[in-house]
Amino acid sequence: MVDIIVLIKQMPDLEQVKPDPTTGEPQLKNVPLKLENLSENSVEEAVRLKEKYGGKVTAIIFGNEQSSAILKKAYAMGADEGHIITGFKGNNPSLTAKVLGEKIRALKHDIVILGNQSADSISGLLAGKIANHLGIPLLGNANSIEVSGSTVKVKRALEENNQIIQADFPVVISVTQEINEPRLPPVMQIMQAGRKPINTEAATLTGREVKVLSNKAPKSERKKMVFEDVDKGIAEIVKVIREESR
Amino acid sequence: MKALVFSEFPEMAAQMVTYLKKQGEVDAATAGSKADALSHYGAGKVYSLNGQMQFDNVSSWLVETYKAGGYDYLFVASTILGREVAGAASQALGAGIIPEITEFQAGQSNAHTKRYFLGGKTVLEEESDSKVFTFAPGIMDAEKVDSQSPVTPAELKQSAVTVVSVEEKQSSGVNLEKAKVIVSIGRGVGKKENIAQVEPLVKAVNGELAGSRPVCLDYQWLSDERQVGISGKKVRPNLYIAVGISGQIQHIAGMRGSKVVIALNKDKSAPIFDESDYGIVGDLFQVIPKLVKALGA
Amino acid sequence: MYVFSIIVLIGLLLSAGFFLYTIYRLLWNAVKIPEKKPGLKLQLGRRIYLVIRNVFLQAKLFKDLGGGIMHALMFWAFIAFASYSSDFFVSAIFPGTNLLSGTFEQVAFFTVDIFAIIALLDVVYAFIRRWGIKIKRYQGYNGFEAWFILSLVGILMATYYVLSVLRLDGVSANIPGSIGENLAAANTPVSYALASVLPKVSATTGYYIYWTAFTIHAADFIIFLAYIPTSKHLHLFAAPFNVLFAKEDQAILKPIDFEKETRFGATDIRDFDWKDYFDFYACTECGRCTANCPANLTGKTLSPRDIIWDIREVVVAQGTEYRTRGGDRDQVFKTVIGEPILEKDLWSCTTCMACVEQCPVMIDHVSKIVDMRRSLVLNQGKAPREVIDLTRNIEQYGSPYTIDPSTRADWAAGLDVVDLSKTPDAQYDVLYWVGCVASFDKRNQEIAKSVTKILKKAGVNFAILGSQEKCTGDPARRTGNEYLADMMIKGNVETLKANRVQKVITSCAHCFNSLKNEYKDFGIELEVHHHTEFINRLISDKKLSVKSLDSDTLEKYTYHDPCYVGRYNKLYEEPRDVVKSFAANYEEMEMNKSKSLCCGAGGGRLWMEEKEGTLISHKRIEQADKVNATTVVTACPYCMTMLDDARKTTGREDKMKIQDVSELIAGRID
Ligand SMILES: Cc1cc2nc3c(=O)[nH]c(=O)nc-3n(C[C@H](O)[C@H](O)[C@H](O)COP(=O)(O)OP(=O)(O)OC[C@H]3O[C@@H](n4cnc5c(N)ncnc54)[C@H](O)[C@@H]3O)c2cc1C
Ligand code: SF4
Ligand code: SF4
Repeated sequence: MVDIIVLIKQMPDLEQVKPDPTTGEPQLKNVPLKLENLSENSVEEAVRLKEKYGGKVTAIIFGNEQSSAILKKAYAMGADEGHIITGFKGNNPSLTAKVLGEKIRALKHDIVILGNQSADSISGLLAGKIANHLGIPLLGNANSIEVSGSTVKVKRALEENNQIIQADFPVVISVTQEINEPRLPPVMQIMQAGRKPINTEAATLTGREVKVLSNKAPKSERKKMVFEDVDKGIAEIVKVIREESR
Repeated sequence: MKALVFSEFPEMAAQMVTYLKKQGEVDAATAGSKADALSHYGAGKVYSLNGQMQFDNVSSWLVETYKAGGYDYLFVASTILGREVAGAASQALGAGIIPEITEFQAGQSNAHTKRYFLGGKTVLEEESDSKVFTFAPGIMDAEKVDSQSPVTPAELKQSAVTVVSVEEKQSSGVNLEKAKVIVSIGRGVGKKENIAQVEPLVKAVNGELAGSRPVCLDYQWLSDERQVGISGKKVRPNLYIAVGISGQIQHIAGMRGSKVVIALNKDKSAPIFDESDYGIVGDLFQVIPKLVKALGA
Repeated sequence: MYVFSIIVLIGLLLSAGFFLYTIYRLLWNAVKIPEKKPGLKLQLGRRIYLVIRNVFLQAKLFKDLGGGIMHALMFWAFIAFASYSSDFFVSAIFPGTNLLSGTFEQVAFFTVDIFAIIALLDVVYAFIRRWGIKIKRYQGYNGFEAWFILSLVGILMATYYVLSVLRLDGVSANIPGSIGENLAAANTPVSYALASVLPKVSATTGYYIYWTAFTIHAADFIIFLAYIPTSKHLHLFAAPFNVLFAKEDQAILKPIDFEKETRFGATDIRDFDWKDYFDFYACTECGRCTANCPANLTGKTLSPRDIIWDIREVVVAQGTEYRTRGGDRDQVFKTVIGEPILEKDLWSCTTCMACVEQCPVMIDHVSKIVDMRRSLVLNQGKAPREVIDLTRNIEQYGSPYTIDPSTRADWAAGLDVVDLSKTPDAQYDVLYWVGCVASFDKRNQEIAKSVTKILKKAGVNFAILGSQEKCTGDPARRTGNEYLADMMIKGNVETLKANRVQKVITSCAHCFNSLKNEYKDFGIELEVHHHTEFINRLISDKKLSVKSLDSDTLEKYTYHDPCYVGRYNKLYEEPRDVVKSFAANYEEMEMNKSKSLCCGAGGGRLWMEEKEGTLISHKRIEQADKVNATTVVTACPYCMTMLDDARKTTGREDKMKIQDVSELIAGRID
């Protein structure tokens, strides 16, 4: 029996984010939210571990009032219990780590699973922060997870090689996208998910200020600069290639 | 400004040193066995960290050194270990952190940074009293200096994580999803033998070779793990160069996430041009040699 | 009573008892096992028509002419034999008594006498088809059963003639206990002819021959009767009922009531309804379905015949177990998916309906296949990776593509089309439902543009839904994700109602079928036209005048029927009429109209890789090439995608074009 906590987040659907034509800032209003990609892998992995070793999966989301749809998705995938902590105001890893860390402390946890780097903020800091906050080992960038007794072994995919590393409960594990293919939840579970209770509480902590000076889309659509004059085109493209292939 | 820089890869630490030393004094730490390689870039000091590096022992060493050495900022290269270490260190220091920065300017008390956000959809320009930063890879080329930095060895503590074994990655496996630059070929290449004429371009841009479905599946000029598209890989490189690809929707579905798209096609009306930032209308067998030459110059 | 009479009586009773018992067991299965109801409507007129057409006239069988004629003759022979055999057994058991007399008798004997020889020849022909020229669809099904049954029929007919000849010769009338009196030569012309060429026999020899033939004839019939319900010849009894009970809308999918139902799709034999059981019982193993299945024709293991037959065997086995031992239903009824029905076979199906179209006994394979997909997707979330991606996209973006839905009507930029998302109050007569593929796929946007041009030219006041239009749900539905399809359909129904839509035209075969046939189950009645139908009417109403171009003289046209336009909605002539309105040089492919070969895209396959066997689209393009077509005309963006891809990847780029009906017309109305 393993008590698994899975940390999930919501994100705007990036395909539907467009820059405001006048300010150039991303328009996030009316953009549907979705369960962030790696959070989906995390839930999937947590549920698989539960199916394999028995236990319980608790999902926690630091979000807002709209997060219940996201949590329901985790329920549909097989999470047993869920907590929403409201008060998320934007990307602030330190605050997120504290808020989540406190919540995790209050719950039974053998394994805390989260994604290694979220698809929207791409910060990848949370795993280290949570592990440090809780004072427990981090088994990072896991491509596979194996539990025996109270020892967890993971395959850590690094840039140049793979490590098999292990530590004892409780541990934090960050997972990669390769670890699994998230399931399509069965309909029965989707329908039951709608009826499962959701625990909501407001975050009491606040974070330090980061002043946003500007937030602009580097580009909106494809530039569509087509050169029929090959030499001119090459001159232009060489610059771009140098810039982007560094 | 006094900065401490860490990366387990000396090349990345060297890039950060080069970038930051214009703004103040920079010391750098890297893996023990590779520390010498870092000593030619103008760092005040180079620490060579001995021991099995994990998130906890590296971050605690960084935190202690940061405090003891009176540093203002801690910079970590954004790698798998780097991000973990930076997260843990900032948490331990109780300091703010800005991830994945591409630019850094130290101010009086605040730091001015830029980074990509929303999966690369926007650029955030921020000002904060953060002390820890992760640097996106490839901020600039590292530049060697004449002087040599002294190397100070340091012992890492025992980690709570045990390394059971290390295995080399299979080199054959292509990982298009992670590739930064992709050169993708379509039926326009004509026949398998002609791929050789595209390869110099692949080398010149340091990219991975990929293909459309006909190339990978129907004709098998490339293995099917290199297929991009709705039924192949979904890729999001910084640069996607489509060579002789018409740009059918099934193909576009696999590369729409690319940051910059360049297309080479002889047909002016090919749909790929609508999905590209830059396009050249021309015969690929003539354009590529010219392009490779221009890149080499 | 005579010894023979008693033996025959006992034999007949035993055999009839066994027959009835087997039928009882089969019916018991159909009544006791299913947990779903077919929801049939009475529709008496339609049913009588079907029985006359498809049972008595054997109409569906003639799709395979040789086999069809053979079977129809055999069928009519059996009908004729029914009266003769009754008479035979009455006389055999009660010598001296006759069931038939007078004109009745004359007619009955006359027909039997003619049909018996036909049936004999039929048997010979059947032997030749199976073991001589080895017709492909029988291969693998030529075991004991096939030759045993054919032999029984042959022997039955042969002994009939022996007995008849003896009767004509007046031998039998003198044998005590024999079936009977002398026959009139005029009533039995074939027997008479035989009698006149065969040597006359003595009374004693006649006696032995008579009883030998009689015994064989009676035993043959008795064995046949008992054997029928346990074999594929059950169809003799099951097929007429299956035709009688046939659903009006075969291959049209039914909604699931997610609030009430608890078992989704078909997992085990409880999930088929009694009408499905009749489908299983009625299957004749003829293999017409499989012989026309595009998946099977291109080397995939999917075989609609095996799907039906394999489940039938499970029904018989698990039904027997349940009936004799009872017990926990969950224990007895094990899933049919995986074993014997392979998952990959379920996913190979393009839902092209060729099997349903071909099946002479009106079996609906497609609904069952989709029902099993539903089981996989809805209960286990199991589907090929591409299908999971597909459903995610539909869920997230309202189309099969990862594309911002607000760009849906971008193709119409600058074309001055009324977009109800932008001008909700606009007055319009017809809604043009564009569909996802023509909205987002560059090649297929040409279809949307062409339709627009045509409608404008003909002065039709139309509008599009723009970004309010969402996937009709068809790809989700046909890949088994009824939950998502349900959501999409309900959403669309609301949109359609909110925009007061009544009349719709669409250029996508799949949207067409959904909107026309499946949306009514979700509470909206629409008048839906496929664009080929609409354009054809515009031409015949002289609202459009179509020029034939100079270059046409060099073009050779052929038309590829999209399954959801042709077989699903029986629009075969309208698109052809449009093409023929300008095309001088036109030829049909070898498989056309109701026998048309699918392009390979239906049933969600447009988004799946075809890894097993060869590509269906390649086979189709080869068929087009065989008639030297330079332009393959089609009428669906799915077909366009598949055929255009096939044209290129088989190296026919330079000699062949794929064009939508609308594109051809749009280029000829300026
Ligand atoms: C179910 C299904 C799934 C599919 N999945 C995928 C998928 O995952 N990935 C995928 O890529 N496709 C997929 N396709 C196929 C897709 O529809 C297209 O057929 C395919 O992408 C076309 O490949 P292409 O661009 O290489 O070839 P083409 O469309 O033939 O394009 C070749 C291009 O090369 C140009 N060209 C020719 N010679 C030269 C030259 N000398 N110099 C410069 N340019 C030249 C031509 O102008 C042309 O534009 C799928 C199709 C289906 C039906
Ligand atoms: S619907 Fe078409 S593909 Fe599917 S089983 Fe029937 S014939 Fe084969
Ligand atoms: S399902 Fe119909 S077509 Fe197929 S084998 Fe059975 S009877 Fe023949």
